[in-house]
Amino acid sequence: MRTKVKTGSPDLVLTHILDAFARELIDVSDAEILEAAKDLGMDPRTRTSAAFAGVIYPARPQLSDFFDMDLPKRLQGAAERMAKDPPAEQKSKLRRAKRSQISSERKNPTNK
Amino acid sequence: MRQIPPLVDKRVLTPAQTVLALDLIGQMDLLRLKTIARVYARGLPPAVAWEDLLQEALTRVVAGSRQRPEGVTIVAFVAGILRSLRAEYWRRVTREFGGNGRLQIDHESDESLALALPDPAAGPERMLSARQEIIVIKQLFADDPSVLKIIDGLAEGQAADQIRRSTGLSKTDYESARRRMRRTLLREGLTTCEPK
Repeated sequence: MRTKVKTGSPDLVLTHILDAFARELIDVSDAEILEAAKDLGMDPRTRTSAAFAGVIYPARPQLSDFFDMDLPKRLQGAAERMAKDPPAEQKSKLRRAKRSQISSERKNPTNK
Repeated sequence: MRQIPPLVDKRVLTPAQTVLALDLIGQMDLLRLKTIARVYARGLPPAVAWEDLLQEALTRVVAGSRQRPEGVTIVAFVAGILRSLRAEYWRRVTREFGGNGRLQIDHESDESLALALPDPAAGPERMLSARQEIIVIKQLFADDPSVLKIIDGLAEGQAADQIRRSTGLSKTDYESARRRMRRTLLREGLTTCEPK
């Protein structure tokens, strides 16, 4: 039999209570969990149940719940396509820039 | 050709998703652990969220920094880590704010008995927070005198038969009061609202 522990410190009292609560919950049956969840209008048999909030998905609303967070991915895709095959206008600009660089190098060979 | 670095990587799993994917812990056990994490987060400052406690405990399971002893269920094992994380938080606070190194506790052991001893360096903040939390817990069961009696017994570290003797509850009444207590704890643990 456990000896009676002298208490007094609120911290120790709280620790005893929390440990006892945790012991109760460790062995709680599936049926009891389902009943408590039902009281809250939850069905934990599905992974998307609100019961899993904070466990397998965030408990608090995320930016992605309100905004299109796929935008950076789409921009990245567009940037990759442009890097592979720049648009015609950009190509001609690039050619012009290259030509002017060559001509200035010819005019001022010392700058090389 | 120039490579565009990836901007978004959505393949990062949370520790809870990882333990589920590896089949280390089942869905119902995760719910048990959720309610236990919420219990152990009681009395901690709001900045220390129960979600963080739980994910940190699960990270330690996945990383293997804690080894589960034989014969101990996964829920009991992770509950031990949660308890240890709570104690670790207060030890850190004690060290940072006026701790004098008097408290020497085995950092590796989840079941350290030393944790049950009164902390000589427990500060006023911790005492106040504990006192407030006890009041909140008692309010939670205010309409159930039998459960309140059981909690008083638990607070003194009494065993079941001692509580029954001191409260005069029959075995049946004691068991049904415990069931009601568990039901309330489960509801508080599973709710999406802030627990009372």
